[in-house]
Amino acid sequence: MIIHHLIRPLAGLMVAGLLAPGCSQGPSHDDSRWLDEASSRHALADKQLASGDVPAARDTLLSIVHGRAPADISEDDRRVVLQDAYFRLAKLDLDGGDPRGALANADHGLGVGRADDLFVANLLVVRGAAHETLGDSPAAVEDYHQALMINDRLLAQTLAGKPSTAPAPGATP
Amino acid sequence: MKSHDEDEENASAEELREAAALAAALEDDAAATGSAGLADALDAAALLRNARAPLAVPAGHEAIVTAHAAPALDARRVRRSRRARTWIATSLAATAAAGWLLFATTLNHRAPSRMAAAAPLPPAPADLLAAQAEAARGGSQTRAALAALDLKMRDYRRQYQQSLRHGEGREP
Repeated sequence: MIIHHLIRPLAGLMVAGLLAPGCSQGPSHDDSRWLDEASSRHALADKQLASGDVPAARDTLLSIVHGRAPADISEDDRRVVLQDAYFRLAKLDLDGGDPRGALANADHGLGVGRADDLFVANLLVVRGAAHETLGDSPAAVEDYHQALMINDRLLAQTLAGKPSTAPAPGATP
Repeated sequence: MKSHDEDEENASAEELREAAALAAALEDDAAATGSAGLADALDAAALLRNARAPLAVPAGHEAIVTAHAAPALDARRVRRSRRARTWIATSLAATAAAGWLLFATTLNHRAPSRMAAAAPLPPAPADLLAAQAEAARGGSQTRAALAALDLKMRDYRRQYQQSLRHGEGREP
């Protein structure tokens, strides 16, 4: 009998509980804030490099890759932002005479995901340069070759006036 | 306390006749009766038989029974109807909630964010691609080519970050 009286309120609570999260779905401001943050950190790293403060620039770029991306951001957007930061970190390593560090950062970047776009091609180029510096010519040639193939497709798209991204979900680094 | 046998021994002749008549009536052997307690025995037997049979209201008593039973039956009907409505409402609410949950889950799965359904990157400028191709040639000029690529990327970086923020044009 008590259960009978509780059915309606319980049903109401259940519906309200289900509706609340559904209705609260809206555009996330976290995505935009995270992208703004990454953008301003790149700008700060540019200034730090211009003033010769490489360690500070490295820390600034590291803060991008170590920052927590919003859970609801698209995988592709997240990949692009992280790969761009890893490319810059790898280049700093290479400029600083640390090809192994450059190789590690390039690998981290490529581990985030693959697509036939500019960011993956940049990472392949910098990884090829790291292999070349380390004397691993076959690996360097392979990376340069892959980078040039992407570059060729991107150039064709640019000349055709098409967008410059062609995600390849599931592709392996 | 007297035993059952003592009771039988001490029973009066009239009691014994009534018992025999009752036994005969229960056997539906009305012909075997005929004593003075026949009427009582038949009444008792009828009661016993009716206890196993559905109740039948005598025609003359129907109005009285209706007057007493109708309100109780109505109240019972109302209670049943209320209970049925409650169950229907609860079932509908649960179905609606499940439907909404499915819809919301599908929505979340297909579009993790508004940006997820957005924005191809802006086309890479030809001079940026040329710098990248130069760096991919390798050799002694690689560092200089990488530096040039890095500089070209600064402009493009601003463009793509802006396009990600605005969610412009990326295909689902």
